[in-house]
Amino acid sequence: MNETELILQLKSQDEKAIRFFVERYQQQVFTITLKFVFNSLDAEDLTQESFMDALSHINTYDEQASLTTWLYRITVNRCLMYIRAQKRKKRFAIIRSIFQTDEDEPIAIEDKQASAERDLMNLELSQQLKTAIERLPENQRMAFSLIYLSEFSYAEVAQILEVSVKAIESLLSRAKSKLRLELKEFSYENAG
Amino acid sequence: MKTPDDLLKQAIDDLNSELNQVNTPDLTNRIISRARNQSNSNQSIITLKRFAIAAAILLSVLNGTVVWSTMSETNDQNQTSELETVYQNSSDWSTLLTLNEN
Repeated sequence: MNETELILQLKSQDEKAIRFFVERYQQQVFTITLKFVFNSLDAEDLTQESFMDALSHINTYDEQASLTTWLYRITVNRCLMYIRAQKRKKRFAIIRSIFQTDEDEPIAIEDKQASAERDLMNLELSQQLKTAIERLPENQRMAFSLIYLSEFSYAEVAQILEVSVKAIESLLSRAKSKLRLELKEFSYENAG
Repeated sequence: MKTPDDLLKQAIDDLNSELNQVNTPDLTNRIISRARNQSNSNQSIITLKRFAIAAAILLSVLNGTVVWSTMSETNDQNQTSELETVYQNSSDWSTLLTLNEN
């Protein structure tokens, strides 16, 4: 089935076309989500949601980009929504702990942070990289993940994120500077 | 001691090899099932909307019919009372004929 036929059949909600579409692209979509959220359960959910978004909005697909690029763009947006939701949960947890009134459990944000830092020192390098990636700004995180973890080309990532190749290069340069700094601190502490 | 670039490269390789070991689950049937349910749900909503529109049209037609018949009755009643007034007040048969024609 070529792309044009597939799009027509998806628009008419043909089940065989949906099956073909999912089977063809689910591996790549799952890879993008897994290498963004580092958690296979969340990656499964995000993969499903990405396909459901694509199927719900197939009638708005205007064929300016390829079907693949359009699907990956939807997947990236789903991942961004996920990390924003995670940030909101963390903020809420911090606020909740500030207003904790139990005397037996005093406000422990600083203690928790110190403990987390000690734990980080003991983590493997890959875990440290994950934590460092999670601290990157959204756009840098997205560019880094797509290029270095999902192994897309610069041109493909530029199409997915709808920016120029130069913009991708700039994002990566900044991302890598930050990550090198964080890993350097990790290696000094471990060499200690 | 490794350079920062070497460290980053090693970290990326380690992370990739860890994540590449995760198997891609087969989500095809789950997605198809959700798509089917969503399609059925959309069809139900369309049917309900059409029903609501049809009911609104029917109600407005009935309302229009009731208003029209009420107005017609009122017009008839008005004409009748006009005629009665004329019968009571006028002895001019030509006036009566003109009113009837109207």
